[in-house]
Amino acid sequence: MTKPAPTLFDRTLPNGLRVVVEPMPWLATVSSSLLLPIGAANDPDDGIGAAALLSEWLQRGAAGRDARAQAAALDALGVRRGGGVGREMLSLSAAFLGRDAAAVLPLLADVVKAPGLSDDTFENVRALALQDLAAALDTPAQRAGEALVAAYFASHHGRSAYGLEAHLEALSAAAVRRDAQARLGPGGAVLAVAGGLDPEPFMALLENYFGVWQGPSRPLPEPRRRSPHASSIEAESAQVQIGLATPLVGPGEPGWYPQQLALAVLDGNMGARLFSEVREKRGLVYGVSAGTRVVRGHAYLAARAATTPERAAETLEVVASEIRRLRDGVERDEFERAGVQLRASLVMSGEASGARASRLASDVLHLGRPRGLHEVDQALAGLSLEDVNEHLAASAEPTFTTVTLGPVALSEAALGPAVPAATVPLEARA
Amino acid sequence: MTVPADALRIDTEQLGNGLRVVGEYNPAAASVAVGVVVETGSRDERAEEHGVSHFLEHLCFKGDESRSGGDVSRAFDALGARYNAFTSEERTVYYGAVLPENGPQLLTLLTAMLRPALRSDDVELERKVVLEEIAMYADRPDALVFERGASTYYGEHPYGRGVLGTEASLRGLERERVRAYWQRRYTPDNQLVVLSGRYDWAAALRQLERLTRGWEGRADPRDTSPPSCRGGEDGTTKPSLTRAHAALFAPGVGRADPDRTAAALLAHVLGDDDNSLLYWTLVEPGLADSAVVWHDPADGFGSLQAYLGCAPDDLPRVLELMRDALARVQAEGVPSASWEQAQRSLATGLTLRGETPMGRLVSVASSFLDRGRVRSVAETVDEVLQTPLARAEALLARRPFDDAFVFTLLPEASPAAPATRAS
Repeated sequence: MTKPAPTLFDRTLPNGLRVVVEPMPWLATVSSSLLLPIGAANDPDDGIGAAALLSEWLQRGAAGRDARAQAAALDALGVRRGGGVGREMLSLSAAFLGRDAAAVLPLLADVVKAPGLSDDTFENVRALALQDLAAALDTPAQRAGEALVAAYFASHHGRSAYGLEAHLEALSAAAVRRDAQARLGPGGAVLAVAGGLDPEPFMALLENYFGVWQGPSRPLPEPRRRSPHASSIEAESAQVQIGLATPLVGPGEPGWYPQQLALAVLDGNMGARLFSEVREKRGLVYGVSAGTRVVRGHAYLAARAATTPERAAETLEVVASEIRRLRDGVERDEFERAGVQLRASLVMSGEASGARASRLASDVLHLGRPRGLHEVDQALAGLSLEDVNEHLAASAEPTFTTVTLGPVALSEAALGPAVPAATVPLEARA
Repeated sequence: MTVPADALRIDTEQLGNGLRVVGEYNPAAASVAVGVVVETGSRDERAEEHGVSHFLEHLCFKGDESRSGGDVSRAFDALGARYNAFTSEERTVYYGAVLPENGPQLLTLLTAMLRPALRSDDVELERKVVLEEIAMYADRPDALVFERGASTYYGEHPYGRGVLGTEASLRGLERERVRAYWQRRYTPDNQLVVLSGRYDWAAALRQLERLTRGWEGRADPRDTSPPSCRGGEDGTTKPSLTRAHAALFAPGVGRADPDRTAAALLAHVLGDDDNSLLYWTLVEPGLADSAVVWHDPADGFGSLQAYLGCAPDDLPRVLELMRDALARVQAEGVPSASWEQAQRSLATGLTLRGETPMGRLVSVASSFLDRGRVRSVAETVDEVLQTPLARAEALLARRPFDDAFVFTLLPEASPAAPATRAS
């Protein structure tokens, strides 16, 4: 670490909002990430897509300003904004110059505190949500990604964040507004801010503007998995999309750091096993990846590849066997490369305010507290090859949920027998 | 940046073999980014070489005489590098970022890659990978509509040939053909080494002198004659789709044109993700899932481009609304409030990208190559904030949208689809 470890400021406001601030005094910019526990997983059963509608509706005016006035007020201050909705979280992010904070923060707070949600904007919001759903289905890679998650989860985490077409069409403005009133509250929400800011006065601004935000929250369901099974979807496409998912040790559990290191051996970069075995040595794909995904205390590995039909069975086999082979342990040189990579990447993530803000917010969500760069670095530095290999040897065998989408349905030989998907509790993973 | 502007230092040098080296030194950075920009791309390919620039970029990762492809990847990983490469119509860029102490090794690796061994086995294996990449883009309608649209818009001009090549052209790229292209284009005078972040300039120059000793040759100047572009509408169909996709092309300005910043701001006003003209016309009302505009400045000419995605039945109306909106801006000009909002928004974006050495790398290189001098983030931001609205009005006075060309990609031909109209 070339800079002194920045101090974290972590507070829970009386209204329940968790606020984390990390000063990066060498920057002029500030990035913020607000995560709300609103997503497809806690959408009403007859309103799947309500979170998607709300996420879009929140962009259409606040505190008496209509959509154009709200956008103009933010743009006048040069605020870059982003966000979206997932299965568990609605996210609102922003980036601006630190010197403008006192003018920007009240505008950002208004979005959740006093959203417009006016009837005259609702039909446009609905039309756009339907467009987004249709657009997602037009790209095979995105369809396959949705199908993999739906096949993996038995709980509402398997729902698409885009919602269901019939529900999007049926939801009324009044119903979405009622739903918002029941879950657009500060409890369980996290606001993380990083960048060129003076922490104490900045925290005071946050308390001032976000502290008066009130409203209830709705709990998220516990994740449950379907029993591992394989499914094929026929689609007209040039490539077959392949997806595999299998449970991992959750964040905060013992074994998390050794697992992260082992997964960097599997798919850290171009020298890692997946890239090397699937692309470098066999030329089977352009893209192959295996990433960790986390919902509410449950982590799983989602691996993706795409290849032309005649090579799909081999690609699936090589990807699956590389994931299985991890349990046999990693070599010293692999361990060392992965360690250097994770630690360098950590330092580089500490240079960008947006990367820091989103990491802090996701830490609070998944671990219940933010981690400074130094803490993560120490945890990685403290790992030995033996720690990693002991973890791997003791880890459970992968149990794949497999989805393929493309012009050919893969044979049973490649996918394994089709098993009816019963629900299993996620603790099944040792 | 709160790093005082005088703490940043711009370094430039040219080695005896013609290789240019530039740097933006930032003592506050925690990393160093290194890039090599080769001034070559698909527009520099001969007809029988279609796709070779991008194929060669892949093959450079397969190693030089003393390293295998696996050796190259493992060496990058052992440095903890974030690294990759990309190829465009005009440039091929190899880059990476590491902690400052590993900068010299990264430089060694990047320069070694650019002398690829081009072993036959590697060429054959990597050909399969690029064919998969071509298949991947064929499944992405937003990419497909631009590939087909550009080839129709630019006609015979090399800018209209896709960067990836086609399945047939890839199969025709023999190893010797790739080598001949490399010899012609990867000459030291046609390359720029860029450093950004924390590095030792004198040591880097000494190292580069040593690493590139014996590099020789001169690249032929690029043919920068502009394309003769067509207007009107055209299109194609793909039965597996469910949506309509459209690409718009209109004249812009070139890389070195002083109005390049004004053109970027104009594109922002017309079609940024939120709060732009097309956003309020098409996306906010829910007529299109996406309607974005950007400016693509090339060597000698440029274009304003837009992408639209909507329901097939809505396409005629969406296109009409877009054309009306663009014609109105051309006739009535840009409101000054929109201009100032675009200036501030672009300025924040530039400042954010400037937070990291990796984010600065391409800007440092383009600023040097296109305008002859590296501009700091602060200078670029000032330029954005001070570009007068009159410059956009001058661009609009040339009536770029009168000549706009629209290419559509639809699930099937319908009476409403432009594909069936005379164009």
